[in-house]
Amino acid sequence: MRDRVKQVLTENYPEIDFESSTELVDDGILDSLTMVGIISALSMEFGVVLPYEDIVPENFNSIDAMVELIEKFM
Amino acid sequence: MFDTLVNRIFELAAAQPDKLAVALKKEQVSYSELAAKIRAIGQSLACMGIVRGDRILFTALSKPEMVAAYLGIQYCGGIAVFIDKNSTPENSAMVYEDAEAVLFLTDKPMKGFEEKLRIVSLKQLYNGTLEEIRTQSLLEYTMPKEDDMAELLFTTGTTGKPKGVILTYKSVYHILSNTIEGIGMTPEERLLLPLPLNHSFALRVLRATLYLGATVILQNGFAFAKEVENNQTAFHCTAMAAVPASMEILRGQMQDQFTRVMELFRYIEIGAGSLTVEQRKRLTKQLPNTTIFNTWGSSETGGALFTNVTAVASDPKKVGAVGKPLSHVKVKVLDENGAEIKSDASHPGRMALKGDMQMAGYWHRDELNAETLKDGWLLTSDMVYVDEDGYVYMLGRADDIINVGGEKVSPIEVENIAGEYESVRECACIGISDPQGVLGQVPVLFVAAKDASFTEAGIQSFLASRMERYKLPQHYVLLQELPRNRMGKLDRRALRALWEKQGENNQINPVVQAILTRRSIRKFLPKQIPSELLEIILKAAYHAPTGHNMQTWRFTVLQNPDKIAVLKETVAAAAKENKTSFYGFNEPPCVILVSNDRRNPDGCQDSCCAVENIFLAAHSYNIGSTFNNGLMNLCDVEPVRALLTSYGIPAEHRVWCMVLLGYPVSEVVGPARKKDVITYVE
Repeated sequence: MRDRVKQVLTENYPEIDFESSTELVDDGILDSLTMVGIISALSMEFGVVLPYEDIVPENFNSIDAMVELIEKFM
Repeated sequence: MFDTLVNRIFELAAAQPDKLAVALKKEQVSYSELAAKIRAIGQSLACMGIVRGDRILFTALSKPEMVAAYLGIQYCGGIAVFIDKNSTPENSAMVYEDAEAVLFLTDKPMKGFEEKLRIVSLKQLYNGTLEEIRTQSLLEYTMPKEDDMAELLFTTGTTGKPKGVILTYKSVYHILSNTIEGIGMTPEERLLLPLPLNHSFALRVLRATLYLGATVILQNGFAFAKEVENNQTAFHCTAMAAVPASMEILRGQMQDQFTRVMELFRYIEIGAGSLTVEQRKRLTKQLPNTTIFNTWGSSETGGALFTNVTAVASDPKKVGAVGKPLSHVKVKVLDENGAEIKSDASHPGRMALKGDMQMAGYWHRDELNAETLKDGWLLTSDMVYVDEDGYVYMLGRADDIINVGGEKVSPIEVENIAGEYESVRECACIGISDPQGVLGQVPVLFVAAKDASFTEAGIQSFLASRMERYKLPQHYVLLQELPRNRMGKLDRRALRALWEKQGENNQINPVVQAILTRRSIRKFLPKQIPSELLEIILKAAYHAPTGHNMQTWRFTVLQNPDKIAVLKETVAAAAKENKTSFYGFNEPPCVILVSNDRRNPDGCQDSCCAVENIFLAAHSYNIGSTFNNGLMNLCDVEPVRALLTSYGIPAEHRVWCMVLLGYPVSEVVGPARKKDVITYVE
């Protein structure tokens, strides 16, 4: 699951090193426009609808956080 | 009247010391605290040798330290140069050199440039922990002159190198007071600002809010709609500044919560882009208790034309206006020779503005200055006209106007009208060279559709009844998303590039176009294929060539979802048992089994010719397809054969292919094609 998430991310954003931090959003590695794309790509790939309350920085700060979020809604 | 923000903040620090000036979640800075930080930073910079007129770069993070740094630089007479927080070291260095700066306040790693630039930690400077500061400075603030340079804003623009916009203290003062006046801001505002603080729109709103002694709540962008709600709950925000794209992002995430959350704002100012007519109508309907403003502005002028969208939403003409200038901002419309004209809808011209808010010029660009600033008038690159009531209407940037056989077409006008067509989510219009070589340019419309109900025929007839013939788009291109830049603004250059790329394809006839653009689709919408289209697709199938004209094939069509599910299960089970491969079968609404008599030696080849015809005919109706091979080697295995018999497929037939058909869930980019597969034998 983690590999699949990582694959989706790196395919869409090859220039970003998603393993470089566990504070991807807070460190500014992921900006606004990137976030919109990531949410969209993950929703489409895993067929999940991420509810508004859960689209918060904490859930996207690391690959593991994103995996947890997706599994919650699969 | 003239004042500076630094001077004002010191006044406010005395008058309302404990009032919240700037906040970012738990980091909350009062006016007295802000004033103290500004003084401390200004004095520290003086200790570091900064003198009046020095250019100082700093990373415009959305944090209180940015505000203190910005004003601290001005405290000691320095000139503030804002750097985008996502700027690369190379770009930052380029600006540093161009501005001939002496210092860069940042905490971002500047790999490779540590020697070339003088870099100091912004955080440490803000916290007062910079080791460099050994001595004390008692520098007091002295009022600068009106025409002294206050700030340098580098605009990326859509063409080439960024240029620095020079704002004097006079410009800055008038830009902020125009915003206060144009919007009707009050000292009680608690304004939410989720925009990048190196951009002219965010800056003028920030300055206006602080000048009034109101509160500004910072936020790191719009990626997380929930943060807007969190900030609203925590700070009881009265207002928000946003760009058009942010409103769409918020609506997309908040869904039916949108009205509940957003109507708590007394007003929302949309800047750095025009809301389309459809967006204006939709927003004012969704938020009847919130005043929506859409401001036209630029780095060179700050916000200059203000529209109260809520007030004009029901006026069929004025709903499209870009705004009215404030009384002391003059607007002029010019023809190609620079002469003033009396404009109207059929006689637009280039807009020129005059007022105390305008920039002093571009940094180190004398030629450009000579072109842009004439007799105190600032020439914009926007084509407009003004109506009898003084409302300004935007037709687009001069370079974006489409010249169709001498008739001028405004892409914005086309977009506004097309935007009202039901199945259009958003659209963009550009001019392309007329392939027939007759009209010079013709309009092309890029559409991001809401769903599969979008048809070219549909939108053509919708537009034909609403605009003159020469304005009608000659081509339509469906996209998943329109290309936008960092601020969410439509990137017309990217659209032109996209068109060029497809250009070869589009000059070719529709048949070859279909061949070149078809991709295999495996994810389908539940929507069924209409029988008229299916008939045509099957007709294309049996028109394929066959060896010796035998035509021994059969096409067996399944559209019943239960029957399709049974087929899938049966094949999957058989494949597992026989250790053959079966995958990629994802609930297609329609399956065509292409089978042929096993005794026909050309049976497989004939079937494949038919399948390709099916693919291309389907694609020409925007129906997606894919080839599924799972059944090929399992036909004679039970219970598969029994199932095939129940469909009426003869026992001598082998099913060479299962064609899966349906409307695609989304645009798919096809794999790269190897080109080096051809040999010409001379």
